[in-house]
Amino acid sequence: MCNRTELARRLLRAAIAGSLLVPVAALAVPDWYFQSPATPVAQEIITLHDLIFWICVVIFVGVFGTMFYSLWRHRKSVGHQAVQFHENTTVEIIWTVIPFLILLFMAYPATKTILAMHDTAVSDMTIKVTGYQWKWHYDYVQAGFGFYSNLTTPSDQIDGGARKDDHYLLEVDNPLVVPVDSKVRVLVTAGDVLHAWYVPAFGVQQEAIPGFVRDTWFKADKVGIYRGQCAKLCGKEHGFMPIVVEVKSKDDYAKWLAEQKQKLAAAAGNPNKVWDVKDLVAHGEQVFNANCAACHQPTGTGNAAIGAPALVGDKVVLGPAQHQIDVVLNGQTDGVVQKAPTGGKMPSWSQLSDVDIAAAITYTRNSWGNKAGENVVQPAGVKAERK
Amino acid sequence: MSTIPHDVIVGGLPHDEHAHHPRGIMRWITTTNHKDIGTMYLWFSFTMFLVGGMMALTIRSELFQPGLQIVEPEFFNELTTLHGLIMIFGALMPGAVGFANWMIPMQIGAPDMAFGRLNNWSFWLLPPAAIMLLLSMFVPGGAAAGGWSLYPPLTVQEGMGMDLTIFAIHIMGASSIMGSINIITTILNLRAPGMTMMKMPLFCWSWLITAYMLIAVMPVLAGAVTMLLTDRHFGTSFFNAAGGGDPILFQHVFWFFGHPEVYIIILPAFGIISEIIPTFSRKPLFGYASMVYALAAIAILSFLVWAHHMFTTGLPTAGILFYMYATMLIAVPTGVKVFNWLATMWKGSITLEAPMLFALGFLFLFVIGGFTGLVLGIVPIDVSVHDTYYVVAHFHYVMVAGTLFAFFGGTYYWLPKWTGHMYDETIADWHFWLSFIFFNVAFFPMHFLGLAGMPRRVPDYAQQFTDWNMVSTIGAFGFGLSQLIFLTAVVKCIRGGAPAPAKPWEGATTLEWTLPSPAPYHSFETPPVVK
Amino acid sequence: MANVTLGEMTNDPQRDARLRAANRRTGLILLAISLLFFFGFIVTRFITNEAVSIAIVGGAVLLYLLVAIGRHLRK
Repeated sequence: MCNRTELARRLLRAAIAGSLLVPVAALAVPDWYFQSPATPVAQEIITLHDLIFWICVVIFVGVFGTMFYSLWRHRKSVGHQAVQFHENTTVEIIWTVIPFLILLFMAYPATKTILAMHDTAVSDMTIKVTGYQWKWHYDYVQAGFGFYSNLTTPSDQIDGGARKDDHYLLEVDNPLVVPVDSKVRVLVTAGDVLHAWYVPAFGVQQEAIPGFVRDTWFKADKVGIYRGQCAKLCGKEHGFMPIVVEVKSKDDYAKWLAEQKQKLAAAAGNPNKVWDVKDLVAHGEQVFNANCAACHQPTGTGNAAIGAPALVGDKVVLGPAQHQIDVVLNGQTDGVVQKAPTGGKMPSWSQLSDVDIAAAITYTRNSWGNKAGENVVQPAGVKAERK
Repeated sequence: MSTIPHDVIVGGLPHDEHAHHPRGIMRWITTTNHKDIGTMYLWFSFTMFLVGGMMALTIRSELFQPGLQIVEPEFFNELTTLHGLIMIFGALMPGAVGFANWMIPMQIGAPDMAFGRLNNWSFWLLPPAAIMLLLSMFVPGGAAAGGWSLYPPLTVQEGMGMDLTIFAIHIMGASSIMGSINIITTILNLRAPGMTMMKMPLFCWSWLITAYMLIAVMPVLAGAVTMLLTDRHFGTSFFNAAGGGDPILFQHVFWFFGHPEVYIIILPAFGIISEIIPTFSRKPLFGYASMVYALAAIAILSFLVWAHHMFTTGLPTAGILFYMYATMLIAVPTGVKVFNWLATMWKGSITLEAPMLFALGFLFLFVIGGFTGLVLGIVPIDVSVHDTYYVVAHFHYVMVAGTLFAFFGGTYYWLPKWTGHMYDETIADWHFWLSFIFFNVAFFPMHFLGLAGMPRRVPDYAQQFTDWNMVSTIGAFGFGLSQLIFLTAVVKCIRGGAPAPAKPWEGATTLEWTLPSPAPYHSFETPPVVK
Repeated sequence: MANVTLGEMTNDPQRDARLRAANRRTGLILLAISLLFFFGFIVTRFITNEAVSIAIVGGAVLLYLLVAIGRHLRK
């Protein structure tokens, strides 16, 4: 055992196994490091990581260099005899104290960065972020408007094998827009379960806790578009609720803000506006796909596994409009067996606007072969049903 | 498990034993013998390992390319949840108890564990719990799908599968508590004369401390999942803000269990390594007392750091600083252990049989895992990689390349004692090298994915994460298939092989090596005297 | 608890009985501790201020650990 031929045989075995690594090495090196930092905090994080990393590398090389040396020099097959020492208090103290000092050395810059990251005071603007299953809502607290932000990657790219576009899974209909070089205070909460708002390029991650508000902040120092994802398991579409932040120059931001305020005024305008059915259906399709299709499918065929009924030929969709409005506004539990992911409950969608709900309902009543008697629901009708 | 011919094979009854020992299936159901029970724990553990492994391979298959090709997102979440629960509660913990059962009595010169029937119950609770967990996949709504950490409110929403999981956890927890009571009582009361606590093999020390920790934390886990159960069905609002509760309370309670739990998983592995390295260096363990103190320090410190799993929940600054410092501190006693193992090898007379290969692999890879743990403990860095694949990489390095490798090493080390045969060193060699290489191919790239921002628990990912995911999947399949080599080695050894002497390892010094190989069904009925 | 005890199940009935008693005592103490933690944990959620009650249980667990392990570390 362990003579030269045996050793050679074993080294050969190891080499053959190791050669399996060659195809791996042949790949061009893909993303393997932090994203390019877009805030000073993100840069500090990278610097801190590099410090810790290299200290660990040095220690690692030292420790395992020693081990391999020992494996080589102190092996029985070259006749090395074991020296029978087995304790030494001095050495124990040394290799307790020195690592402790190294840790102190690491803790100091880490502490400084933490204190900086926790300082949410004196911000230029505040945004409230709410995580929902499975989308984000952004409220511009000072400006008084807000909007939902949904994934826009089409399902045929996800399930259907269609060619994926560049920002597959990282694209949304309404990105968060902020000005560059401004300290943005972010209030994070959730509307149902835990989520987490995570933008790697900013060095920001904050868990969204329903019923509680936590805050964090960032100050983007580069114009650009930055993408992140939900970072706390929140159910089946956890991987499909990305975050997109567009950092604009201060001028562009001001222009954008003005536009948003105009749109807000226009939409709030006339709650009693009577919409044309075609417009409602068109808008409703968007709202449906963004909110309802996750459970009821874009084809309206439902998902028995989670208790979402098919809407094609459905009693509620074809029946009295008031009942369907009630279901959408208040959710429904009666007669439903408890199933995942929402416990078999149709959740309430009262957070959507009257226009959106009216449009989505109208869409269901006029699609997939459905021809409901009452095939139009106006925003005023939804408003009347709200208690 | 096997009908016994007159050869004494693993688990075999010597043919001159009392005739009233039952045979066949009843033997295994009613046994109070620590060797039989140890064997059952080990086979159960390996079976669960394969089941959990297949789940992992399904996960990795889905993640081979972006897009959803194989499973639905909800089922994917069930797989990740069950994979974690099965590996931790079904594979690693029972595996450790298997080693404890086999080895502790023999190492302390005791005839058996203190409570034989309790030992039997502890084991037999596990198969029903495992079946319940696996069957939960087939109930309406499917299995629990909130991750093994079971955070509410998501898990309060879920269906029946979650309730089955809670019951399974209660049962497995009871099994662990009973097993720990048994182990502590055995070690405290049944040591042979002359075997003081500070003369005990370090494996026994590691399990003594682990058992104390289990008694402290399993009730806490039981409490946490019970509160989850009442929130789900009995109108309480422990974790529901609308009712005056707090989802983060669950995280605190869960991780108060969860962090010591991961040390519970690694400590017996440390113990096994502390048996293997001295034997194959032909030198006593360096710094025995320090090693004991280090185990104690790690155990106690592990209770003070749980919130490092919660750095992004918005804890107050002072709290965050405390948890960061305490987390970093654990590196000190862990480092002491690594240095002591190295000092044990230093100027020894080293040979590289399979147990030693796995011990060295453990050392090399566990330290990598330890370093990434330190990186994760630095809060600003954690904010950037929490809940990403960096964390997944970290814990697989310490649990797989750590605990699992130690278990492989321990198996090869003690197979001669268990079976009376030497295992095939060539097969074991291949098992080691392929496992080592493929493990790294599977998990090293996950560090990159995490740093680059890929979240965990997702069935699909953005395109920039494709290449490393492909590499990782290939590695995972390689690693999984390599475990069939292990199965081959073990089965071949059970069936036959070069007859093993009482002490096949020249450098072994502990009591089990004074017994014949295979160890007799009843050993140390008369206690040995230890000088 | 003596640090040297005899484990012997088949030859000496007196030692056997003594040993069984010792084992039972140790086992029951440990069982009691674990039950205390389990029920204590849930009970504290219903009484007193949240933070205080959880601190008590956490402190008890820690104290138990320090005592249980620390007892053996005197050489």
